[in-house]
Amino acid sequence: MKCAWYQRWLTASADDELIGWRDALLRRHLAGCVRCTAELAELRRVRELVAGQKAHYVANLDDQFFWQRLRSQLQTPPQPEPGPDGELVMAYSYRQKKELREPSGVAFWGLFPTRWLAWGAVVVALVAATLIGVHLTRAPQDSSLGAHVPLLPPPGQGSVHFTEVKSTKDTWASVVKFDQPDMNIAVIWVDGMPYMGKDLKHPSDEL
Amino acid sequence: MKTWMLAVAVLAVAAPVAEAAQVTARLIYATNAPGPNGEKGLQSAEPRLAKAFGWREYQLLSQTSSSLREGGICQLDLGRKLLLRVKLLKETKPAYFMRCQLLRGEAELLQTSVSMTSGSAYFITGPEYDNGQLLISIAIR
Repeated sequence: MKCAWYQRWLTASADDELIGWRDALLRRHLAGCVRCTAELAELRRVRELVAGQKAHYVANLDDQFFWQRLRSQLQTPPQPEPGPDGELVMAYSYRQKKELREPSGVAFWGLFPTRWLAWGAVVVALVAATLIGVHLTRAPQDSSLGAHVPLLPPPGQGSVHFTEVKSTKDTWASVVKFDQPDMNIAVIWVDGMPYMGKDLKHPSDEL
Repeated sequence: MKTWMLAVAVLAVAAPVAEAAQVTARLIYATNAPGPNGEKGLQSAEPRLAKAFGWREYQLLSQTSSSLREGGICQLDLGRKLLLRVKLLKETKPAYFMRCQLLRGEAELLQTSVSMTSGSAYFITGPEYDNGQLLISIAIR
């Protein structure tokens, strides 16, 4: 499983096209994997053999006719660029473009050496998102909450209904409702509360 | 893969969107003497408050808010040893049924069971204070 994951990069590495984190991961894997190291060495040997073989392009009539006909039928790019290695250049060019067009999903899975790790990351992300959501909804107290509820509702709106008002034995409470159209305020009028002091500027002072 | 990413995004967004009731408590000082700093916070409400309570000036001393879900309890510290303990008993939007206890230190001053619609508020006339009186306001949304 692990080797299979890295082996898709071996060809690119053999061609010195593998860069960045993929290259780093592959190197790390190769340091501990004899099989992949041997395969990479084999690929490099094949590449050297192929590189030594210069492509011979014989411009006879048949060839000319074949390529012209093929080009006329293949309207879509990419057109192979002439190069020192003939058809080999076309193959490289195709693979490089394929690499560039790698979908983002593949890039994500590629971040992890194994599929299990990738799925683990997805699960962790799900749990984290859920926990963050729960934490935000339970955000307790207090003045750090953004906007406060307005002091008074707009005239004519809002309804308050008291079902129980219980004061201490030393105080006396009664409910008063102002129900004029321009002023609907409900008040619990409490008499008998002890005088609290004078200093408004020091809330922590003994009252 | 895209489906998974979408699911993560939906979870992250949808969970906090579920709204909780927000309770705001305020401690207001009502007096006939003009405030030294000219409190601006309550000026728009002063005419209505003056009609109800009779005082000319209203200064906001403190305000604090808390989010509450059904069955939840919160304590709103108003300062000056005044504490409001709120329990949201039932939430049938837009109405909220809750129990409020006004405490001074550990001693309970008043207990109220009240049903309020969203955006509404009620007042408790508190103790006399300096040359005026303290008012406690409880609003919910």
